[in-house]
Amino acid sequence: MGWFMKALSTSIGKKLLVGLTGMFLCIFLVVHLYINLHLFKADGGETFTAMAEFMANTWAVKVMEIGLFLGILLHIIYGILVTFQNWSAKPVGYTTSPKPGTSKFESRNMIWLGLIVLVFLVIHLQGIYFQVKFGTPKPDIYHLTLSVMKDPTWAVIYIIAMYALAIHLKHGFQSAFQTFGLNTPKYKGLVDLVAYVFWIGIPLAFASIPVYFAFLGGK
Amino acid sequence: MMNITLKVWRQKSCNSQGAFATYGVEGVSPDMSFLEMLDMLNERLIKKGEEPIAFDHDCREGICGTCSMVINGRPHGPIKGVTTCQLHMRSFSDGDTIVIEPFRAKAFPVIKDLVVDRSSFERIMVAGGYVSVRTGNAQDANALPIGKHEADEAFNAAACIGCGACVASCKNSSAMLFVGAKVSQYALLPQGQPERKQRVLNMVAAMDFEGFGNCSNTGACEATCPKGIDLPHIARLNREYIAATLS
Amino acid sequence: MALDSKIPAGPIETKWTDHKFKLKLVNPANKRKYTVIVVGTGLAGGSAAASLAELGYNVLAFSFHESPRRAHSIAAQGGINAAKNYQNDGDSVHRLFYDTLKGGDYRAREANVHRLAEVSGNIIDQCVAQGVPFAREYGGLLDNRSFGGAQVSRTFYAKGQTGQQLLLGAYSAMNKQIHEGAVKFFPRHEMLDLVVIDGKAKGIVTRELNTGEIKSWAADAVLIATGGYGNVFFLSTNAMYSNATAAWRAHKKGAFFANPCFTQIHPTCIPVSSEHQSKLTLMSESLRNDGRVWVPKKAGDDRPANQIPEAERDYYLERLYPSFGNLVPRDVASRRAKEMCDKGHGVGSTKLAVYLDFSDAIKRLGKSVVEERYGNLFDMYKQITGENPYEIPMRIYPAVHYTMGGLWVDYNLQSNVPGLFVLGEANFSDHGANRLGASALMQGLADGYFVIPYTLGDYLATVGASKLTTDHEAFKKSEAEVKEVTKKLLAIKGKTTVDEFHKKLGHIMWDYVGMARNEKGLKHAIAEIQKIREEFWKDVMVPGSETEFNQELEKAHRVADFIELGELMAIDALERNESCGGHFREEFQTEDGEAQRDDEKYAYVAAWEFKGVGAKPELHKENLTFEYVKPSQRSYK
Repeated sequence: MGWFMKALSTSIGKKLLVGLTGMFLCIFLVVHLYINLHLFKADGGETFTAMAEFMANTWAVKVMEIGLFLGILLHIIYGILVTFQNWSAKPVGYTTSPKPGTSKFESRNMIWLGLIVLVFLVIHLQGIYFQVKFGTPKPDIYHLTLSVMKDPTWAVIYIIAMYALAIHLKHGFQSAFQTFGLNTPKYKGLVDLVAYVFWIGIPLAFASIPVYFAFLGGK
Repeated sequence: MMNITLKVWRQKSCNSQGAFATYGVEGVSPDMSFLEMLDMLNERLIKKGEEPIAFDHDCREGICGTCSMVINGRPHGPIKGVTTCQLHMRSFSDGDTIVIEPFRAKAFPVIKDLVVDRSSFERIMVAGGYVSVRTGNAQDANALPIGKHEADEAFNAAACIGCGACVASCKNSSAMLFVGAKVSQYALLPQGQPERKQRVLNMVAAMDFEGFGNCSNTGACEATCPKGIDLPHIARLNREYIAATLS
Repeated sequence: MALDSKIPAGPIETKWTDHKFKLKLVNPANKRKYTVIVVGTGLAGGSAAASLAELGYNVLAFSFHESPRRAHSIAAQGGINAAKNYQNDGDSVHRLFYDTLKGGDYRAREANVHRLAEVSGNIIDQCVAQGVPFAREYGGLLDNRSFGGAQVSRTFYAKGQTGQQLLLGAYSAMNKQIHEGAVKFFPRHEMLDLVVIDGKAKGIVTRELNTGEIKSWAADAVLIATGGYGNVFFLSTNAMYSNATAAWRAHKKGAFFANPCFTQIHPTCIPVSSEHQSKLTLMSESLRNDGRVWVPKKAGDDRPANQIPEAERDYYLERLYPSFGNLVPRDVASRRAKEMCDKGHGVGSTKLAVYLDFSDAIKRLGKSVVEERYGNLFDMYKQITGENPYEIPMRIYPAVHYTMGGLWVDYNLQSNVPGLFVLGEANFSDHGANRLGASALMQGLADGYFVIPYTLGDYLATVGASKLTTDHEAFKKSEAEVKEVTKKLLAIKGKTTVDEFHKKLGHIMWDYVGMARNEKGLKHAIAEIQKIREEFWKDVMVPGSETEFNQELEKAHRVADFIELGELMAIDALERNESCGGHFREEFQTEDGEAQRDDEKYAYVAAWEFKGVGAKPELHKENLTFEYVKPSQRSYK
């Protein structure tokens, strides 16, 4: 294990951990979205509820859930650690910014975009997850979710967060492949395409739910 | 002839406080190189009894990697693929104000004015930037055929001039492009294979020890590298590092 | 004093092999008892430091640069020669030996040149083993190209950056030894004096450039590999920091300076554009493989190049030298370019340029092939001049590039001061009066990798390890001298800057000790240089103090030496009443304007002994004998 911990303490190791946990969280996003999209199904929440029940009561998912929280935690801790190190490596900056620019906005602001998503995450967990998990009496998940989605204030928060997530993913997704060493000229085209679909598609699909229910009169 | 205003970082020594000083430079010819313009200013400063601006430079043909200044926020100035010494004043306009700062990084402390100490790069190279081969009777050069593609790719990586613009432009002062180029060169060549794993581990350890930041894949290094060293070399460095760690 | 070149006896093919066997060896266990100082860590110094450390010696390596990779070897573009005969075009060790000796206009030692040709192949093997990415063919084997002065393709290259790749190879070998602790590298340390004790070189005094600290270093032998002195001319293709100070200070401590007037003017440089020009940029000689040199037939023709019809162009090199054409040696190409401009055929705004035209090559090979071969050079040209060489012919003009002269050394690379060895461009040894393209890299690496590891051992085994430390009074004396000169420079507080003096010197050197020289001009130059020297020590203005990073002070030390060296160059040129290679005396030329050698009187190496600033130096002659190649009028027709 010594070699493993040692590897994780190097600059590349830390970035790998951020990338790996990031990719893991991306998988979670896909599953979460898959379930959420069933809110559109006009079956009075039957499928959605069944899926939520399955997620809540299967032991394998519970184990995964612990992994998920660990993943989120590591992603945040290492993200912040890396950022602090980076700041200390550049104690003095420049007075002018280069024109034309030499890097993209999202690549320079991952920490801030990530923190916006974190804030949302906390609100989101508080609003739905913790209610369902620990609330007394236990609310019905379908109706709770639907009520949140129909609340315009909630919807706006939701949309802003998804925008931040999109921009975070815009850099993060393809950047992870670079960190894994897979972004070679041969595969760059493929990675870029998948990344493009991912960073636009996933947050857009998430955001479409509150937009539909809060603003387009979805029932 | 052009008139230019310069805002130049002046700092007496590594321990002293620095500040910007403003100089008007009159009679600049568009055919002058950027450094010749600074030479002219320095001659005038000396004549006035002031201290000339210290800046590093040597070959003035874009290959030694000595020049180290950030011009208007960009290492080596505004033109892609060109070092400061090959930058000419025709790239600027009459009346321009040009801001000149030293390369900024914790691992590149300022020595004086625009001169920085890049010995951290040396220590990374000493940690593993070589193939261990003694001088003597090496086998015949053509006994080791190397595909043109690999040889060309290795050359592209080896074209790094070690100027440190990658570190200077990176918001994290990461040295990954510099290290990636050297690791790539040897990883691509058969000569580099025996020490392949140890090399990447040692060089990355040295890089971290020197206080360079992490790579955020922002690509600023690639955008400002005067020799066109590109990001796939960093991807290869990551790959090499992962392979060396896991095997 | 008789100069003993120590050339071994026997047939030329076996001299080096026999000599290596006869040289004394230092027992492997005893090598660590010896300390060797290497000053300058470019190709020659870097390769020497690495190779000696591998053997087990303690090496202290010094450079005024922050890194060995900044040495000006990095800028060599074209390539490195080696008699590999990979092309099956008739090359051999003997042919490389012959071409180099003839290229040098028979002013080099046969034995040295032959050794150079012998080890040339090993250099390529060594560099490839280090991972130097030479250009290759699709089959994976090494590619070659041809260079001036040769009719075979024996030049190995890495795009237009061969020097860079070779230097990085030597640098990596040195880094390995630094890693092992066998080499201790001292960056930003400039050698300001050689310490000689009991007639033997025993150490140096340096100034640390960051802090100004003056320090002594003791050793069993001192190697100087600090490059050439082309910057005497102010404008040259040398780097701004390239200087002669280490070599010149050694000269002042007794080492003879040989053939100082042998300077090489490179024919393909970007012409001077203005008074503010700080340096000249070389365009690799390899360009002459595909580029055609021409001037308008009509003197004073002001039309743009593209409007001058084919019939009105004079491809003068092809006309004058049908068999070598554009690939004549550098001295010939340079002189002819000057002659064309002197006759009024020059082009461009200053009229001091000739065309180097690629339109035929682009037609023949296609733009992409030309781009593949010379792309980086074309880009560089465009960046500097603002003109696109794919569309308009390049303008080129000769510029000072390399100095064949340097500290005198014997066959073992040892100077007349025992324990002082000189390597690479800093010595005078292998190129005679003119160096062929792609031979400088070859010589630097031959000296460092394959000669000094053998010959140094012989000296050390002979004298034994010394117990000397820097406490010896000779070091204190040297330190005091260095400090005094430094203080003196700062105390003058005159009105003229160091660069102004340097430019003034450069003008005199270029006008009278440049491409064409004559008795009257040289005498004038000597008088003028003496005046500059006097003014310099009365009126130079050096700002700042000696205890800080002070670039003007560094320059002042170097320019003070350039002034003295410039005078010696003129004295040497005046003394040599013949034309040979890069030394062209207008009084001595053939009817068709070629250099006219005088083998009867001047087949010798002129080694000058320092007798004090302003005092006439004493000439020592080492006669050159030619047993294997009969000196003849060089012909490239």
